[in-house]
Amino acid sequence: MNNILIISNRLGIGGAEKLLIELVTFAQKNNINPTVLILDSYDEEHYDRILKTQGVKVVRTRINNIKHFRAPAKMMRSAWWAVKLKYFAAKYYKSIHTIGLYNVDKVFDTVLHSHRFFWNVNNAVQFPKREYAYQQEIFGNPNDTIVSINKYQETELFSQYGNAIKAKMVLAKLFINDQD
Amino acid sequence: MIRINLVARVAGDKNAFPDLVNMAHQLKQQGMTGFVLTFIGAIEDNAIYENTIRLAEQLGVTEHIAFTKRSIPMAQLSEELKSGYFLNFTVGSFMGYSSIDSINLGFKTIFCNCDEFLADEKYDYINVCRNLNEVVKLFLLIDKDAETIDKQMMANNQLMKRSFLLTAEDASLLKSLMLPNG
Repeated sequence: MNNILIISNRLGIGGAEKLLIELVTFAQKNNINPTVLILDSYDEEHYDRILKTQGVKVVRTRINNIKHFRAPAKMMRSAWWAVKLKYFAAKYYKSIHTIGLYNVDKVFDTVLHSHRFFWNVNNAVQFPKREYAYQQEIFGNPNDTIVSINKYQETELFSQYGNAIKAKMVLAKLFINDQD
Repeated sequence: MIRINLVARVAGDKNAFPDLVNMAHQLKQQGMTGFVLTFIGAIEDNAIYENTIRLAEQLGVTEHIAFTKRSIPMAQLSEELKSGYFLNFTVGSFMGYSSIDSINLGFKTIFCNCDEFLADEKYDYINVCRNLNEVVKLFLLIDKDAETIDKQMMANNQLMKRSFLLTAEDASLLKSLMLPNG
């Protein structure tokens, strides 16, 4: 089975979340089975319902700071996902996509897989002094791929992080699935 | 009454609110008074919201600024808001999903580059503006002859819509990202 995992931190109304939905829809159209993992947030949001109608499994849990003694069931679930993604991710998923570089620090050391794709959904102009606020370490693994969604991002990243970028770079345009 | 809408959460990663209040001020100074600028989105950063309100007071444009204070899917907006102009920020020629949604829903959509470093990019359409000064000029034109500008805008938006559909090459790339080993 062609399973992939898509990780984000919210499913409210927003551009990054819309990208996630379009990726999910594209995957399903291509016989790929996506699972959505929402980190550190347990409240149902706008796109939860839409994903449910599409038959997509949405998991809301933590994989860092998993101690949660007042909610043992949640803690057990977190522990399971933390172990699964650190040691067995390749067994379950063909690739892992993290939406938003702002989420990468949460997964960089805890979700291990040889095909990790980190989607950059921001531009430098959205940050003070036009400087991305990410640790350079997240670009340091040559097996990872940074996915840009516009032609400016790669230049912006290289001008700020330079040789610290060892990850591969690829440009994939924003898209909407055909309404067929 | 001309309705100008911006769909954006009032949050720290969106920094255009003071600029838009200034735009409202410029429009008023140029003699355009029949307009309301509505920010459509949840207030996630109260300090930004308060600062925006304060700036509007200082510039005397409070009556031209409104907030929905909650996120609303674009398709579910009131007919009054839907009939307005939707201002979308772009980074150079890059348009995000709120732009795509807005075009898809057939809204009158205006694009404004928000990165001054990219103001020299090529902007071919009347409703694709290199900065807020051009947006002000566009609204002044709309104030004079909305029908003509609206027609042009809607025709342009239909052309842009096509560029968001996946080509076979795009789809193949996307599939290869999802299934790197085939």
